[in-house]
Formats: sequence, structure tokens, C-alpha cells
Amino acid sequence: MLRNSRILLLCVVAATALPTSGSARSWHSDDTAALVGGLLLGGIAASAASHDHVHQNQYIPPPPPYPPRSAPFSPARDVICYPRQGACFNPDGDFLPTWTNRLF
Amino acid sequence: MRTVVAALAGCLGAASPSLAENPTSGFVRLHAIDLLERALTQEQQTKLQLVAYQTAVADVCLGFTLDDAKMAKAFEALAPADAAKMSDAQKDYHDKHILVIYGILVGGELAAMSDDPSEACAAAAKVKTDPDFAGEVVWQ
Repeated sequence: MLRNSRILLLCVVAATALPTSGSARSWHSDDTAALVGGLLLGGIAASAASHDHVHQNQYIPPPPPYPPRSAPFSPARDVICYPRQGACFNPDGDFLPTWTNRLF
Repeated sequence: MRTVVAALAGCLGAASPSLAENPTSGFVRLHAIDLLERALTQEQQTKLQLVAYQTAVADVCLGFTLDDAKMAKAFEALAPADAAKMSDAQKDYHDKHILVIYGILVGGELAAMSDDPSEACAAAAKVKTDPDFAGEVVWQ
């Protein structure tokens, strides 16, 4: 967004600066058109920049992550715990809440 | 939305080696946790999973009813660890985010129990009497 605003601003500056490069020169209707065009572009850029504020219901990025978790392990026979999930299961795939509560 | 889809795609690749447990519940749980985006500490995340498990049991099994006061206390423990640094809008977002993930986890537990509800209820009955689990019980 900021980059686009800068490009638009450069266009405005270029459009308004070029007609004055010749030293003694009267004001032409082309100059008026360039000036109006520049003002319009400036308005668009300002309008775009004003949309940078945060809306109330906008997605809020999460905080920095906690340290990475380690590989699965087996604390007892027929118990497999997955640190990434923070959960333990038996070999049939059943959730083991007591082991999960004990270890995570 | 694109970020979420990309994150899901990334998770699919990263998660596949660790899906040796129940495919349905493992798949749902893993993605629910990824969608949680580490908004909770490990301890809070475990608590949320245990509450979701007990919610599903209460829905499927006879003799299990959720206790409103215990549920309220459990969710109070899921408040953001750095709440003092957060705005009201961020706290509100956190609460809604947690509720969405809770719903996903309950769905995963229900799906896992659908394979054999009677076995799941028998296992839950043992859990209910396990002294190690007493501090986490949200059933009446």
C-alpha cells in the first residue's frame, strides 16, 4: 500500500513539474488538465492510505509462537504421546485423557 | 482466508507422519491445534482438549452431565497468559477464537467415539473414577 502511494505521488510530482521546465511560458489548458489529474491521483493515494487503519473485527495476528515441540514418545506400554498435539493415545487410537493430563 | 488455506496445506504435509493414532480424531485434533495458532500455552491447550473430550462424552454417554460451574471455571483458566498487554478487542477475539477451536475439538471427539460408542463410554467411566483426573473433571 505504501509503495503504491509513493508511485502515485511521483506521478503527481512529474505531471505538475514537467510544464514548468520551459522558463518563460504561459499557462495552457493542458497544464490545467495535468494539475487536475495530479490532484485526483493525490486524492486516490490519500484515500488508499486512509484504509490502513485496523477494523474492529479484523483478523489479529497471533503472538510469537512458543518453543517447538519434540517427537512422539511412549511413556508406558500401549501408550503413545504426541507432543505436537499434546495428547496421548492407545494403539487402537483411543484418546487417553488421564495420560494426557499427566504428561502435558 | 488464503493464509488459512496455505497453513492447512502446510500442516497436511507436516502432520502425516504423526497420524498413527485414530485417523479421524488425530486429523481433526491436529488441525484444530494448528488453527489455534498457539493462542494458548501447552497447559491450557491440554485443558481445552480435556474439556472437549468430556463434552463429547456427556453428549454420547448416559450418566455423564456437564457441570456449569466447573465448565465456567475451566474456561476462565483459558484466558490469555499476557492479558495485561492486550486490548479489549484482542481479548474478545481470543475468547471467540477459543470457542471456535473448542467446537472443532468436540466434533473430532464425537467422530472418534462414533466408531464404538459403548467402548468409549466404558473408557470414560474409568476416567471418571481415576484420581489423577479429578482436578480436570467438568462432569457433575
